[in-house]
Amino acid sequence: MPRFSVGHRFPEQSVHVAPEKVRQYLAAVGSESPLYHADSSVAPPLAIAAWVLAGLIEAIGLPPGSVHATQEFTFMETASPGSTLVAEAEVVQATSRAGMDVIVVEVTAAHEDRLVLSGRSMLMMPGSEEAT
Amino acid sequence: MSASEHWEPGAELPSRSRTVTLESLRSYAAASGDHNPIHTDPAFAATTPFERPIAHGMLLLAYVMEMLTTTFGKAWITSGQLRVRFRKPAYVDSTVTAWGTIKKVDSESGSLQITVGCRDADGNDLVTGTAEVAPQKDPVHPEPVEGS
Repeated sequence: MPRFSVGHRFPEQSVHVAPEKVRQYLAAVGSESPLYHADSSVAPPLAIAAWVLAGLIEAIGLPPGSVHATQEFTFMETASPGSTLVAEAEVVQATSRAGMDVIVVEVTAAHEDRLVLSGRSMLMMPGSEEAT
Repeated sequence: MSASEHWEPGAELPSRSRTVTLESLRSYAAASGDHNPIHTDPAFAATTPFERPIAHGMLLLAYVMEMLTTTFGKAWITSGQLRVRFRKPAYVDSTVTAWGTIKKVDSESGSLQITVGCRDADGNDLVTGTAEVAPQKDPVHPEPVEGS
């Protein structure tokens, strides 16, 4: 049996887009996009996505040997440094395959009820028997 | 102006190459909050099937995003869709290149379909997928109102 079943919702996350975290992210990925440097009112959406996924991975407690297999994102609105977003995540597929638990999680991040981004992550992790 | 202007099927986006170093992986771990030691700890990575640190998949995706953001600007981050599969790991000290090729131009909607990916210096596909970007949606420069 997979550790998570369809419909499982992870605890809501509050994601603060701290200007210092944005600068740290831009430096880490080597971004030179004028959009983020010339217009400081825009935070890189993939930074927000990365923070949301890091929180999700922590909530899941991915065991060693886990694989991030696929990823989808749709970007809808920009978020400004200094804003705080609410992220939600729900399991929409859960199967077991070749000793691995495979789950697909849908995530959203919203600012004041406006969706900033949504995504789907396929995560493969050693099956429950192996993980315990 | 639409995102499709000036683009034809087969056209290549300006590619971007980066070398993945242990320092860059540690910087990304700190910036992203993904502290899995398989990315940052050579001793731990040596105990895994990969035997050495590998890049975060989301870091490779960031290189693809940078290419798309630089090319399409605000249209990308307010209407872009990205679907990728992580196929192979990028090992520490490897050089990876994010690339994109226009697959389809919808002349009516102005939207673009783009094949995107990230490959290493040996030509191995590390990340492959598709991106779609819709016509420019820039609230700073709204469409003119008829009659104005």
